[in-house]
Amino acid sequence: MIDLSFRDKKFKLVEKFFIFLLISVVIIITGFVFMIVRGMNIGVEFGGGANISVTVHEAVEYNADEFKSDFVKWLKDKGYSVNNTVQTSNNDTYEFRIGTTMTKNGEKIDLNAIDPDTGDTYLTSESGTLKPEMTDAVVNYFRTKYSLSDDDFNNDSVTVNVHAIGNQVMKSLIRAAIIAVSVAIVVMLAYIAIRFTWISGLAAILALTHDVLIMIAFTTIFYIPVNSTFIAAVITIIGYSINATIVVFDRIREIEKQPSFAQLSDKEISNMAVTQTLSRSILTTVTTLVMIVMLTIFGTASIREFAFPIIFGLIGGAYSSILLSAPIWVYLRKLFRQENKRPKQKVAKKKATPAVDSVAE
Amino acid sequence: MRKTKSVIILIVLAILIAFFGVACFVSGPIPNSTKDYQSIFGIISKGIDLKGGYYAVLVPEEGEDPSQEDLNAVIETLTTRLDNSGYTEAVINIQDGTSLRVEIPDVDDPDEVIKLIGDQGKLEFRDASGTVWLDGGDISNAYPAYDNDGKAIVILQFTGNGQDKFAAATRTISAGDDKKMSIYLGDRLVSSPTVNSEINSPSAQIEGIGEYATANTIASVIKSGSLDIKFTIGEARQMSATLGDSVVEKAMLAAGIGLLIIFAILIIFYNAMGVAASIALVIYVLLYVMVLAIFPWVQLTFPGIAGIILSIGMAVDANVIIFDRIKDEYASGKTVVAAIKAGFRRAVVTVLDSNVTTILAAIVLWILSSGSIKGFAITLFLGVIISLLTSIFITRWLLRVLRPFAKNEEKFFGLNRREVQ
Repeated sequence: MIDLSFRDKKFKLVEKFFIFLLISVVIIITGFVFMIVRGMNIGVEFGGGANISVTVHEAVEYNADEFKSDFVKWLKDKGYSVNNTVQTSNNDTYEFRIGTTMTKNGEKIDLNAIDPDTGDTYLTSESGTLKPEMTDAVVNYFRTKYSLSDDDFNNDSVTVNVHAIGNQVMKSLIRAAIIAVSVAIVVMLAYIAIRFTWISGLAAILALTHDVLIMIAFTTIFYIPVNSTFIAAVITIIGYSINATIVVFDRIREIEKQPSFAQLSDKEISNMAVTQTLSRSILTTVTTLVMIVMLTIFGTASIREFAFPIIFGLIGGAYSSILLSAPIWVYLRKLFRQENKRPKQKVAKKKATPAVDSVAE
Repeated sequence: MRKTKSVIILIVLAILIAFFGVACFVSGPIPNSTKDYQSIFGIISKGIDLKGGYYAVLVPEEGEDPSQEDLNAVIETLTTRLDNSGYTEAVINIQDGTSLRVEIPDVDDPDEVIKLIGDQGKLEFRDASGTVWLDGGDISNAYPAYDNDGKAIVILQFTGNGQDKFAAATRTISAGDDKKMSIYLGDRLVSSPTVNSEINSPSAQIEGIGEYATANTIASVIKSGSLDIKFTIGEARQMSATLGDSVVEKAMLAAGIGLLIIFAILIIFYNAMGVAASIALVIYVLLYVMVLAIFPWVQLTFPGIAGIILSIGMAVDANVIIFDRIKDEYASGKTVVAAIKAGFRRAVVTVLDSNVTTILAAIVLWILSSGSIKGFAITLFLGVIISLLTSIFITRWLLRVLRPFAKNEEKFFGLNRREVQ
């Protein structure tokens, strides 16, 4: 058995706060530089685009992988940005997704913008011409590559469907999610303010913001595709992060209430609380990471799109709950001149009970 | 607790876990029966991202401002159309107050579905000058058929009033110069037969339709009546089913292996307490799956499954907090029994405070969000509640069951007397 206990250790974490904060700030700024320079890898679901499905009906022998890569090349030559290709259950159906930016005649066009010639979005007008054009391209490809005659392979041998995916739905989904998450944060802040202090609540929300920013920064830096599952990933991290921070603040609250520690400064209390909860912070992070890492090892591409941001968020969450949240609490109290304010020591009300025992009652 | 009693309890528990484990996750043929047993996990309703299918979002055209009642009427009409075409499992929800999200499992021909739900369904018989003689309200029934040449057509049956109107229309048109009657579906001209004389008939047919499937779609659109609101398709996508199957299988494999690793970690760090937590974790997973199957408004989506697996890792948290506390209590000089008692009593406050925040967040998201996020909030909420119950009550009970097996309680529960600073 291993005893993962740091009871006897004395870490000076609050003193090194600004170094820890600097590391986070550098990561977050790097993320935003990447976001400005290269942008995030926005998936079709989020940014809009079109879904193209090609089905080959004719029972001809052909190389599926070769067809897939040749078709992607054809799309790219036409100026489309190809985001994702999938071979579906029916092995002769292929799905290709193209994003919203395309290069036409050397110009970059946003397919969601309105085409002045038609009054519709470029996406709508493009997908109208794309369908017959693609059908011809696929038919020609098969005829030349596998020397098939008109009778063997013609327009009836393939079905091509193009569906435009607008981004206004996703935009409203994101807007709704932001509103919901904001309200949730206010409610959590209120709860922490009641059970702890409003400064603890503020510190917890700052730590949470840090975790989400770290998550976004790494997702941008590693160019992980962002789709609708990203919203769920952010919510998961918010829940996890607030949990981890509360455990630390709970320990601070407990130490504050003990008369034997009444003379301790905020810094000393914080260092003690973090040290005492360290084994829990490490173990819970490890068990949660085990599950999510298993998902990335065994999962499909779409599972990984969900899992990677969560891994980043978990690491950010562990980092902030161990190294940042308690110091933030210390400095906020300094800022609002509350550093000597201690909660009422419940012990005083009780008679002979030893201090340590009455805390939870 | 006596040792024999503990052994019996553990055997019964093992049998129950094995039974419910099989009931939750194993599907297969029932002996001496033609039916298949469907596992509890299998009956949880799955979103189309796992089941495969088609989804589309109908956004009202600019200038339209549909009320809740308008949208409900549209949902009713669309449900009729989808039911008539065999898509009985389709789900239509209002999204963002004015849009409709239509989810249809098992779609082979997305183009037909688009016509089915995207068509406003306005039917009009016009003459050359554009005057409308009849509309959808004059039709009592519509169905697809083949004409004598084997071409697909739609047969329209008129109401009594409709028949009179049709007779009047054909009389006027046949007397005119143009002699063309134009049949419009929405803004689209589907056919324009030449009318040479008055037709007083209870039915008429629309030709020039193409395939039978299209005739079927047009018939059910006409029969269901027109929509009062014009929509555009904001987003539409086909989702493949096998993609979902393999996702679920792979996620289950990941969950299984992850669970074993967590057992190992718990037992390495907490000995017998780790064993109790591991058993509690298995019970948590089984309870969670059963609760998800019972709650009718749970629809499992792909992020939902990933969220469940993640919650297994997080469910350990409460036990870790409690066990650390027990270790501290023991180190400070309490007996094993007193340390366990005090550890639970103290740690429950921490566990509750940290989980209530998550529960509150889940409730807010549940109320305020829609679609997949709402589903995610529900699974999150249920997961936290169940993990609280199992990690507090079941673990505590299991510690009592395991205690008689201890030769040296201190070692057995992984405790030691090092002084707290």
